[in-house]
Amino acid sequence: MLIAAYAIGARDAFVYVRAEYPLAIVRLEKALADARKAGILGQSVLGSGFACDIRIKAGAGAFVCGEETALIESLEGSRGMPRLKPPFPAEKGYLNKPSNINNVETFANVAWIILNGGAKFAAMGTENSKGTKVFALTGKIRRGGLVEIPMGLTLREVIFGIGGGIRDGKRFKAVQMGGPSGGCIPESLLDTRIDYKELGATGAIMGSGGMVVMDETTCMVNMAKFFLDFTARESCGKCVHCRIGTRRLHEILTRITEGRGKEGDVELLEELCRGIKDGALCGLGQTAPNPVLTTIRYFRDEYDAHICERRCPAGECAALRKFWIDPAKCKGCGACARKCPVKAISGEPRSPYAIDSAKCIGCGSCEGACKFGAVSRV
Amino acid sequence: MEAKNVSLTIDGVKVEVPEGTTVLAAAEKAGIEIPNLCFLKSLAPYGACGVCVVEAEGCPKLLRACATTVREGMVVNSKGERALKARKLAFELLMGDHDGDCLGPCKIECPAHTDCQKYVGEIAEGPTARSTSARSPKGASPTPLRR
Repeated sequence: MLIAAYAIGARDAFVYVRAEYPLAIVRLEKALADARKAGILGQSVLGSGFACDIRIKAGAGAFVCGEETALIESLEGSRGMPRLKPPFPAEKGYLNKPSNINNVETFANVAWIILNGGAKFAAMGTENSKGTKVFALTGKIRRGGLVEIPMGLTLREVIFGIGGGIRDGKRFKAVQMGGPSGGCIPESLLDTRIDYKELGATGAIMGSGGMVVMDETTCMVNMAKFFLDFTARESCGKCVHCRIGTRRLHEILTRITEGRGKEGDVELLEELCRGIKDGALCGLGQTAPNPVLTTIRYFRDEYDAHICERRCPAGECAALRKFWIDPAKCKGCGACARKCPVKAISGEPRSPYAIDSAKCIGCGSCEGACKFGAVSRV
Repeated sequence: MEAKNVSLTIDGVKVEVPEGTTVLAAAEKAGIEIPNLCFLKSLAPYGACGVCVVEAEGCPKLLRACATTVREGMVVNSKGERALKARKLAFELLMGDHDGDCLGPCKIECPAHTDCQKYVGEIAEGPTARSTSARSPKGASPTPLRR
């Protein structure tokens, strides 16, 4: 950051951290205090006469504040809402002064490049994307966590190599790349290299570097609904396309997962998604439809199963789940009947119990209660 | 100091305006109407409604006419298919979300297809249960997107 400040002649620098990350703030404060003591920050950086100080701004954690102009608004003490661009922050940023705004990861790369040279940095990665990138590997993966990898590795190498594959011997289904507004990539595209251009071609994005791995038990429609629920709530409410559009998307996805989907809903979703991408003011709205578009692109059959057959292939959507007790395995203990919140299970002790599918709400309590594996999904 | 003039083309019409003028104002000068909702002359542009979007040659994104300042040689298309589509969606979303707060009596056909006359008439006549049949089950106006 200091190098960037020196390059553009900036006296004031800020690190914007979510207030919900107190440990990060404590550590940053200590690092800044140490740097001031060592003369790296302050009136004369390393005795050069160049003055610069870094301050910490704790943000309230709104997702949209990752958007640069919303972050600047928040920095100035206003509500985190994106500004119209142009003017870009480089012309009019913080306090309407020209500002340079970057991710911490980008700044961290600058120091490495200065120390080791640009050629060495560019030697890693692909033609389009150089260097390394940090990913947050999570989900149904054996070894999750933060991983820094050179660009150009394939998704398969990261998920099955570094991540050790899928937990509990389940089958890989998809990976959500780039955070809540990224896209999901199916198994057939696992050999895609991690590169801005190649990822973009799949409909996903590098985005925040999130990598959420999903197995066969994840319903892709429900997954899209989950992410839209997030973006709809995190929408700052400024522009119409994002504020209302994401809510409508979420409504349509909800009715599909609850078995109330209509024919033509998928086309309606696609039309709405493209419109939102085109009309939204900032990155949040422009990327929010990605999970919907990519799940439709790669898992259209799951949408159709929900809408036409009122069936959730992954068995995750509670409203579409039905359970069945195998009389051969049931010992008649009654544990399931005691757990059932709607009293849909009846039977005599020591003889097989049965589920009344008309009463069953598909919550799955019985499945968890059975010690003999007699309850299964239909 | 005299402000510099910038010339641009909007929908095929050449127009010259002072530097710093918005596309919306330039269009007005050229006699071209670009619809808008959240724009108010006396206030700074807010750019929320998305109704005034236009296409510009060489620009990958749609531009909000109310908030975009003109550039020399700019070629603007205010009636392109993409702009019209985005504009229609913005309006559809807004209409679909509004609480029947429009100003009566209606001068045009209701874009939300609500028969307000019938609704108001039936409320006046008495049984409110029947009057609700004129309304959508959700909110005051049936939204085009809640179809």
